[in-house]
Amino acid sequence: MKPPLLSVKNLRVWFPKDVSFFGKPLTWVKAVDDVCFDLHEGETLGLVGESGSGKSTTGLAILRSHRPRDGSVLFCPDGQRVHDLSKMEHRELQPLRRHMQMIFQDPFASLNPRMTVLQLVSEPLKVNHVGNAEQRKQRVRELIVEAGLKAEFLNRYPHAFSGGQRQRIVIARALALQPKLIVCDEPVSALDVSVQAQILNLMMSLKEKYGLSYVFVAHDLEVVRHIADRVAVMYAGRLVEDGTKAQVFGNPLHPYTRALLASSPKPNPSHRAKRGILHGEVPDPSNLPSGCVFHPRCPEARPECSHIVPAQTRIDGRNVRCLLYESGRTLTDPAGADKAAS
Amino acid sequence: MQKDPILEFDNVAVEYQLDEGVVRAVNGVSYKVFPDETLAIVGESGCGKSQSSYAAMGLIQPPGRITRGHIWFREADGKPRIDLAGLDRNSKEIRSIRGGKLAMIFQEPMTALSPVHRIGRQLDEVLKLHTDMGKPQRIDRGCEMLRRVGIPDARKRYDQFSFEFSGGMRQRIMIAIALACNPRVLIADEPTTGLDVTIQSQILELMKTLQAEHHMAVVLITHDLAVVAETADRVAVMYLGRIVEMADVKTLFAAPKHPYTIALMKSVIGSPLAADGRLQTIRGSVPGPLERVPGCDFHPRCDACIPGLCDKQEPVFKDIDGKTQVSCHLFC
Amino acid sequence: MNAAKTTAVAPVSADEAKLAYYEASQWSLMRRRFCKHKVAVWAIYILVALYVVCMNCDFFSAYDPNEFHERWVDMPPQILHFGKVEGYRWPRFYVHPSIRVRHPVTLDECYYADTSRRVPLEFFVQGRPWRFLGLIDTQLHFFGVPDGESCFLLGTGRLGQDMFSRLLYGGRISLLVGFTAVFLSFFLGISLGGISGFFGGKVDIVIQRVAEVLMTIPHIPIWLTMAAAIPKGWTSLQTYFVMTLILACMGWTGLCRTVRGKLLSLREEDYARAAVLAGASQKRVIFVHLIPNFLSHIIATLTLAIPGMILSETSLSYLGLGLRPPIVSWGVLLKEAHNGQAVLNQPWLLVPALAVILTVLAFNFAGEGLRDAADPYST
Repeated sequence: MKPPLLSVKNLRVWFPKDVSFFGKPLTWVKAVDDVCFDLHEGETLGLVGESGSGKSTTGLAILRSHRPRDGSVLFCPDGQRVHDLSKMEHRELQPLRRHMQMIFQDPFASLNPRMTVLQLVSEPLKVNHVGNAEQRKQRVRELIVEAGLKAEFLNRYPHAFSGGQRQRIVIARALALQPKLIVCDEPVSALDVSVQAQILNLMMSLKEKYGLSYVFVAHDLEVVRHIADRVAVMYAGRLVEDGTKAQVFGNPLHPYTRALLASSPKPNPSHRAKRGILHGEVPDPSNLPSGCVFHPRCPEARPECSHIVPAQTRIDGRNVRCLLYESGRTLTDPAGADKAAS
Repeated sequence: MQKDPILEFDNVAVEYQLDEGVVRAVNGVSYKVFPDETLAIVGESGCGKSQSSYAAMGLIQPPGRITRGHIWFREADGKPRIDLAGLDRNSKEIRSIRGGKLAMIFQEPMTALSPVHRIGRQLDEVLKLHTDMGKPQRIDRGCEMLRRVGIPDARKRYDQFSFEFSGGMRQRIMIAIALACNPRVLIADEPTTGLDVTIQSQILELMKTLQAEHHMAVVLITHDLAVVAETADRVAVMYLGRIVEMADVKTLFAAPKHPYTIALMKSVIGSPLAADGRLQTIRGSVPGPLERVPGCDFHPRCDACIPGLCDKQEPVFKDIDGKTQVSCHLFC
Repeated sequence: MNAAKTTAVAPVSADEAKLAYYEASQWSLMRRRFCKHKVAVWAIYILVALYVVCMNCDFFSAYDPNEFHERWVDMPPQILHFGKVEGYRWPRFYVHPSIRVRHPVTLDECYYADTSRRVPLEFFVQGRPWRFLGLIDTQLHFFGVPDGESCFLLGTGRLGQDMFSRLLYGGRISLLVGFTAVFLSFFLGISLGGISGFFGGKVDIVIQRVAEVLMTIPHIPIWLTMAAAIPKGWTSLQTYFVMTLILACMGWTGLCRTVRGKLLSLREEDYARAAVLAGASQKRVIFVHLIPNFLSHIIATLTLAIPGMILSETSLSYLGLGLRPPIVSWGVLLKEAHNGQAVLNQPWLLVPALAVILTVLAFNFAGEGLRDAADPYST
């Protein structure tokens, strides 16, 4: 069988928080801790979570913008050779960069204000020595038209464009090298609703046309429900649940996923329901609770949750990280299991 | 039938006189807000939804000014109404109303709270300005407000600084300050934008509870149609400084009338009108703030545009079927 | 017809203006923004004028700054007038010759202007020889008066030196010291700050600690020691260079921190990250993405740093630690004027102080304008 395009195994990204006078880390912020997931070619994985859940850090660590402390990121752009990105030096990564690109959240920050559209979009081609200047210009023209802009915008600077248009430039740039994988860090959350829809549509058609795979990092569950094939839910640096879109949205297992789904508002007043309210707040990543990180807020927490770190449990082709589902406890009725335990 | 409106906008316009030209931030907005109801004002960035509420609060800073219209505010039932638009933004009258009977919470709880003063002091200030309570009473009231917005250990937290609170907690404090003087109207400008979903639902729920307790009207300004669907009673949709459509929330989501509202609904994932695969989008983009569109503001992007009418004549905002008010030539 | 034509033309030009804006590079946006800052623009004009005049002080001054005019000691300024002069057809600049007399009571020497005579100023006259750019021998001067007449526009000093010439020569030294010292410290600051900010880690820690230690040392004692270390026998040029070096060695720390801070924040910018992720080399990220984006900030910081250097030189020389006569600098001139007597009797000796104030103000205003313009997207 073909190996997955991307396979993240036990990924850990820790940042030093307090450092000694000589720069030695004293305490760590565990931004990403023990995260595992696979992404197959042509798939979109929605990575959802609240702020501080480590979803963006995971995205950046995949592209090695952050150096993981532990774990592996196996990337297989051609379906044959598998590269472990997590251990590579920058020089070795360089040739692989063309297969993986990124779309950033803030289209105002991710474009160098001193470069024209032509320079911006052709930069990936230029640094990878693709074609000559004239060929690159032709390619840029095709790319920006593909991304829904006009070819005559070539000599304009980013300040001439609105947020949506800038995001199109970013997309054109990401597409330039025909990558296999694009990590999108909240690509539409800075945009207005109607522009969001335009960008999502564009991303979906490009995915179909070029067989792209997206890691789509977002906090907006509705957007993820729309665009993703598979969904992974993160909380305080851990991946608490992942599965297909239907599984996660239709039958969420982890108490956090349920709470998240229940508290996310739906743009439909006839479905207005008493919202399940999750009390408390996201923990400080430098001072995480012991055991299961979610237990202080969990409506179904039990005494052992505060000292046992749940392992990733595989159920029906999906993964969940909760004691309720460990060692063959009942799958559908955790409340019942709870009663049985007490 | 209904009680008197507490807050009433009558054809209000706000303009900014810049070197580059005149920006018409709000261009003839009229609406009424009644006790106990939540009116959501929704629109994309730059549509003037915040500016209209700033006008009521006397927060329009030069070079901006209210160029026409009236903003009627009734401090109590039976009392004569006051025209807020006619008051100087630093006058005594508006200061006595602002923060007292007419309160506001902002999007940025980080910047709206002073970082150098204890939050108790900031609560105290409002009470001192708008009530004649003595110091011990004010502290009691302040702590009570903190408790009511769900801050545990209120007496201790009363003496803390804003940076000692998380984003959600800060927004709760903002609400406590805003509601300290039992306002009749609370203007909430994007109160949950930037907060996490779980925190957002806590805040929205809190606002609902407090609204019921205080019998106040809430003007909710937001870009998020999901929040509107969850909390609003009536909705006004704004585009380029005008209200294009106003209706009660169910009608608006189920059967929007104005082409802009329809298009907007279709582009929102999960709304009753949105398709599953590709979303429908509005062609073109919002014109720049200095550009003037002749006729109906939306006609260059509208699929139902009637040439010769929509691009020449401005539509009138009027009631079409007793439920919905629309500003569109299709319904004239 | 006519009206139709104008309406048809107007949108096109508006579109063109818009297109020009869309295709305007960031430098031109900055220029536009800077030009809106009227005071800063004027400050730039003043600075350019100051530098042009002071750098070419040989040309603009009528006398040698160290030439003693025994007949005219402690003479007040001869005021410049404009009007008709006998023997000339057109009105022109002139001065009244001074007459020296003894006060009948105090027996002090005093001067008064002989208003009966008008001495015309002549422009582009031949005078004492000098070298243009140190290369071309010339005798051309900007202005002068006929032989036998005197023209001390800012009066004379205790030994009868022309103060106007001294002001210009002093300005050459003082303005150059500021400039070169800032460039030296800029060089130190930008390279150390750049290394510190870009590589981070141990190097960063070492450099930052060194800078912090340097910042904590009080400047005056350091200057004292270093100035005392300059051998007496050194030429004025050598002293001058050592002076700038001293100033630069003390001044780079602040700049180093600014550069480091800016680099650190720029390195975290999404576009720098995007370039790395596109496969750009580190060299490209630094030179194409980081440096152009912080160059404007650096220029503004530098402009704001120059007055500090000028002031340091002035105060050092004033304290007698820096430059000494016969070198003329504004600090040296002020030292000469530092007794109370001078302030009362020869207030014109304080003109260099005005020059210092004007220069420092102009640099500050220009720097502020540049700083505001450096970020053309903020409002």
